[in-house]
Amino acid sequence: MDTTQLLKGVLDVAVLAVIQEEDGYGYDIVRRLRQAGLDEVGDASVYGTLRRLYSAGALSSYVVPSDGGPHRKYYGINTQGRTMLQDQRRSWASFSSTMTALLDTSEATRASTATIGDRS
Amino acid sequence: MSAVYLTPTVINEFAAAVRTALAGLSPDEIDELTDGLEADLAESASDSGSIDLGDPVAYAEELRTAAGLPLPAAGKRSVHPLSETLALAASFRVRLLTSLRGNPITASILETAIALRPVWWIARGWAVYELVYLVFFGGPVRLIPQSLTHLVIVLLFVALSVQWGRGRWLPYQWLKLVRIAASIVAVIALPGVISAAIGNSTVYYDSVGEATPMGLTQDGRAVTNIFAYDADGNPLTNVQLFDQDGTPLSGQTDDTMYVTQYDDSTGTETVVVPSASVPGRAGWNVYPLRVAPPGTLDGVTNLSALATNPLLTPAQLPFDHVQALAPITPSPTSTPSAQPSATPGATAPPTALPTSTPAPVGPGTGTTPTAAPSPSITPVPTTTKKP
Repeated sequence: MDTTQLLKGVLDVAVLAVIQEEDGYGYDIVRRLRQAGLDEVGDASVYGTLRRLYSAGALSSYVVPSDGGPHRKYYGINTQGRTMLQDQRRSWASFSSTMTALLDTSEATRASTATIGDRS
Repeated sequence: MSAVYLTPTVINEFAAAVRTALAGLSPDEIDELTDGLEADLAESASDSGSIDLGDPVAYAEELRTAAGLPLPAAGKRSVHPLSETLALAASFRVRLLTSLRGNPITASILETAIALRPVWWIARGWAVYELVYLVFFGGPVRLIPQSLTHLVIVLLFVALSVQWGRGRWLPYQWLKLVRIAASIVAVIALPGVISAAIGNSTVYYDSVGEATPMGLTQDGRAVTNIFAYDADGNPLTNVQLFDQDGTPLSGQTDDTMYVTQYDDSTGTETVVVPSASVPGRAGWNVYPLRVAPPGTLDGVTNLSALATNPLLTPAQLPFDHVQALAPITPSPTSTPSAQPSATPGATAPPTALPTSTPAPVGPGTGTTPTAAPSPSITPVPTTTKKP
């Protein structure tokens, strides 16, 4: 399955979760998402998401000067963002358990209807 | 693949291409979306070690979609063709550069070319200036500006070109089209402009050579009048002079009715006119030429008017008398008759002699005091060296 399609729906909550741990700038967020296992995440998608969440009021931002490099725009989560994260976390939990249940059920059904122990 | 070929230029070009591709959005939205993009790209590139940043247009699209920004409304249609053209050009450029960087040889050539870009920017500014100057002011095209004003304007063009090359001073999208147009024009015009400039520079030195006064000159100064004295040191009038070819020794053309001469030492102007007594032409070779106060002969176009003009006076002699020449072959018959007439004149000169001696004896030494401060002398030695 193309995980990039799946990512699209959950990128918001993923980004919020990463930022809740610690403030970060654009590429820093991308790196942490990848370290968390979301290898397929696209840089531009994350940057766009950051801007959208910021515009929606879920994130605050501040600029940090860096030594010998360009200034970095850091994002931090705010109250509204925390609320949003909380809601989405619940939605995800509910959605994922529903999906897991659905897939487990179908797997069980399939396995039980299989005449020979064909696991593939 | 390593990050060896990834220079800040690549990053900046990619970021610029992304911004161009986003051109349909408002400037604020573009700033908001791409603020810090270069830093992020650089870090991303150094992490992945990949030189392939991908297609800037696709990147921009991903950025825009993720940010939840809508495609430009139909009302902004007027921006569209321009933005699309620019985005297409930028995308093409980035793809081309990326593919060139894929090969070590083309990559090193490309890096050299990129290092030389400032030279191109300067050349572009200069070429466009010269072209504008040529088209709107008729030139001439010069390699080096001939005046401070030109120099300042050339520097302005070059500064603009350099800043455009660095992606600065481009507040409006359409200026990027102007930049592309300027580049194309400069590329086409450069060979012609350069050869014209070099050609003109050569002609320039020649023309200075030709700019030395026409007619009679001495040490580079125009000779406007000649005073002849006879063997006894008395001034002569109406002396007709010819050169070795029999050409009248005149400083002017026949149709010249008068010339203005300027006396450096007194700061006064006088008008010199030819003799009207030569049949058929102006007597510019009949010396000493007569003079008139400046401005009195304006509009005089024919010789008969000169012949009768009451304002004309004989030119003031530089010396009333000069020393008599020493007789080379003493003639017993002429000496006694000449002596009496010469003596009265000769009694006065002895006091004047020391001062007047240089003039008649050697024109070179005699004129040195007055010729030395003349500014017209200086150009000649410098120009004769140049060709």
